[in-house]
Amino acid sequence: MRMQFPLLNRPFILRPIAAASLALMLLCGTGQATAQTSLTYVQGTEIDTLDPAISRSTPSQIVISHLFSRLVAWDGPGFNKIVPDLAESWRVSDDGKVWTFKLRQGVKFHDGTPLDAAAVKFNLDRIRSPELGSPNRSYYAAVDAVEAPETYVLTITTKAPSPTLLEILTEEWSSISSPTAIKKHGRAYGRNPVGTGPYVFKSWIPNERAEITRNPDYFGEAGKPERLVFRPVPENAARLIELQTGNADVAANIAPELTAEFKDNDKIELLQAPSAFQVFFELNVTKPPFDNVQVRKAVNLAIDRQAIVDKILLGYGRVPVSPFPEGTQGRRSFAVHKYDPTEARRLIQEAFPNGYPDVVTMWTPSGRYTKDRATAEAVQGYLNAVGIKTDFKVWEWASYQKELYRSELGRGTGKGSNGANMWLLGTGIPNADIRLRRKLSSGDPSNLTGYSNPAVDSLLGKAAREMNYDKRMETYGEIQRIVWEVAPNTIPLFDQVQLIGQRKGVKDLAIYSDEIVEFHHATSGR
Amino acid sequence: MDSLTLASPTPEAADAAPAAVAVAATKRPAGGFLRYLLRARRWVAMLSLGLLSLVLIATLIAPWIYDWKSVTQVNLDHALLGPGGNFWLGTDELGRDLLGRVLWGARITLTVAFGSVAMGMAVGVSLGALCGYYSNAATATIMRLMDFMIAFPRTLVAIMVVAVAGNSILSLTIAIAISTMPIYVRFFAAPVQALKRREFVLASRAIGVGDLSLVLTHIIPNIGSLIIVQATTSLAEAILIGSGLSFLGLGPPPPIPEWGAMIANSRAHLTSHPHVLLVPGCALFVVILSFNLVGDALRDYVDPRSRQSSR
Repeated sequence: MRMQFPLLNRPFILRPIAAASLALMLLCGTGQATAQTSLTYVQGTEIDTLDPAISRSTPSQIVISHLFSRLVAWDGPGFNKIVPDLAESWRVSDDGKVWTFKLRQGVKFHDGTPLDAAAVKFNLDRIRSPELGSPNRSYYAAVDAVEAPETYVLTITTKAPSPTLLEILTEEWSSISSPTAIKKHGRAYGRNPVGTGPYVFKSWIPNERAEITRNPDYFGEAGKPERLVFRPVPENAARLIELQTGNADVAANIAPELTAEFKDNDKIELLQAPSAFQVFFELNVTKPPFDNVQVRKAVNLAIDRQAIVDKILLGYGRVPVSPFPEGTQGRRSFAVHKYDPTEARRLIQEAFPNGYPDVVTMWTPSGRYTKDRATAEAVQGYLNAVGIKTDFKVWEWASYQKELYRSELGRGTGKGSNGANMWLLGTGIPNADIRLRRKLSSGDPSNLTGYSNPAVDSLLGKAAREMNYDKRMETYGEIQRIVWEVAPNTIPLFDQVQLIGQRKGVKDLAIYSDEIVEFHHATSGR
Repeated sequence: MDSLTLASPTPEAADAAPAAVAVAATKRPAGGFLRYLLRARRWVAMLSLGLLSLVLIATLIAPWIYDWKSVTQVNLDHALLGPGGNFWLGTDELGRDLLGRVLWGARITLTVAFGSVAMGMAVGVSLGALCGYYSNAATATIMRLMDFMIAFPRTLVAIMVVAVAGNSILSLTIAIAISTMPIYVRFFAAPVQALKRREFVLASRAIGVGDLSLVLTHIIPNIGSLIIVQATTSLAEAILIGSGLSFLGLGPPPPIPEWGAMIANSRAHLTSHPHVLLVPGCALFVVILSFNLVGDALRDYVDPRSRQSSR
């Protein structure tokens, strides 16, 4: 260091600098002691945009959930009841097609714009417009029209009775933005978000930090910390160091192999929370060998999931008992897929008496999910052990996502083209309808396995018309049973467990199963 | 390392190289490289040569000690065991024997290194000789093209090649060969150019020897020792680039054991199970250092001028 800053060695320069930095330290010190309860959160990935209509990534949605309100919200992580947020009350017409929302009065956006039905209509029209090109647009396919008949009354008309409309309105992407701010910033709105939430956007320096401060005029219960700072720190070990040195108060996604560090350190602690995230291999059901249901069942028997959880995840994961992990809406649980390589070999023998002649192509990303590559390699080992030859490819996440959706012949997945036989993915969507429909409905753009099962399609159709909540959840349960016991299209590997590190003294984080963390009620203990 | 392995395209280097060639071709110390090492008391280089021979022998006999299945078969019951017992150097995170993997890894690493240097040299020396021997618009274009390629960082060139050709041992070899080839062209063009003007070459030409046989009988043999020296130090670099690419996930796919990939995959266990990272790391360190030290000694052996200055 001394070599790099030769000037500092000279006393006449060094002294004023030392004095200045001392003064600065004192200033900061007193600043911290007197006011500002502030919490710093380090997460693995950078925020991509703060425009709620466009965003799909968890790190962004964590910030968004602090800045914005929605019309309605879930009462908590249990998905039991939908409660008012910006809408005070709502009712649905007898034919189930017209929803009328009565809005809370006197609410103002952070920029002073008053919240009224016209502002909400502006937001919902925006996300539905092809012009914006939001990746979340298709969720509103059932919506026919949004109207604002009175200042504080909003109506949403659907094409058919839609039991899922309220659930869609609870999602982060249904957050209500200030129309003034959207018009003012245009394409740059994602960097200048304005909502009605408990926190106000202050600054965002990409790849460095985003800062939000408490909203004194929030209509609900005000947030406890005055300031929240979000910083991206991609490297696992570096995130832990930030926590250990006190640079961060809370650190997301602690790697299982780093958990030992928490045992010898009395300044930090490890939180474990259930996650709706399940990691699985999707199987290409449009071509051999996985077009044969028996072979799909066989590979499910070939894998020792308990060993994967114990040895690779070091115990920080769960053996799946359902396509839905704990914390997912409408979950039904079943028996564990048992580990029986002998039976697996017998089933494969039955389907291919001379053994499967070709090589099975496996793809995995690296670093996207907890221990993804190592788990995929272990699965490769288990498949080889029951006599399936494999070809293995590790992808970087961005190119992986592109490749999965490619439709040219010989590339991509089960979507009419045939590059890979199986590919590792995870999903953490807690909403039952969205989670099942994307992966199982025939011809859905996200249905990569090429799965097409008339029984499942008709059940999904039935659920989409069922206005009774419990009956609808029962239908989702039946679909889960079919893909778990009768005709699977995945090899479920493990349910993720959220590992969050925090400085001792931090209290009352709200950790949701979709990996959203809320700081409204948290106290820093400092 | 750069000063040893890369020919800087400066006039001095171009002048120095043929001088070395001339001496090497005429007055090589009798008794070979080994005796030179003994006489000059280059113990470190001797040790390196010994280590390299050991590694070479170990990689050759590896298949008789560990079969392919035992170094690739996942066994989670044995995950992350420490050194000792049935596994002399312990096991990795998927329960595979580390010693077996490091030995098999050496086979992959050395195959890629030797293969890429051989490929790069074959093309590089031919083009270098061509460009040094003839000077016309075509060879000038080739030289400028090589300059253009040198302007890109070598790892970047290699990454581009792998991105196009896909992950395999062969594409990794080709990627390294392509990324190093332009340097060989530049390196060998200069001495060929100088040799072309030497009296014995002019004399041969005067009695009617054709271009091709002139190059093959008089010019290539005279840069032979340069080729050997350059190849030795290039091997070290090829290993480094190869494992670097593997570390980034651009090497041969799992479960093939490759040192760079082994290091990348064990990084997470650095604090809890350091041996998983240290085993391939040390192997890489020792082999690269040895190649460099042997290359150093070989250069001094071939070029007495630098031997004097280094003593």
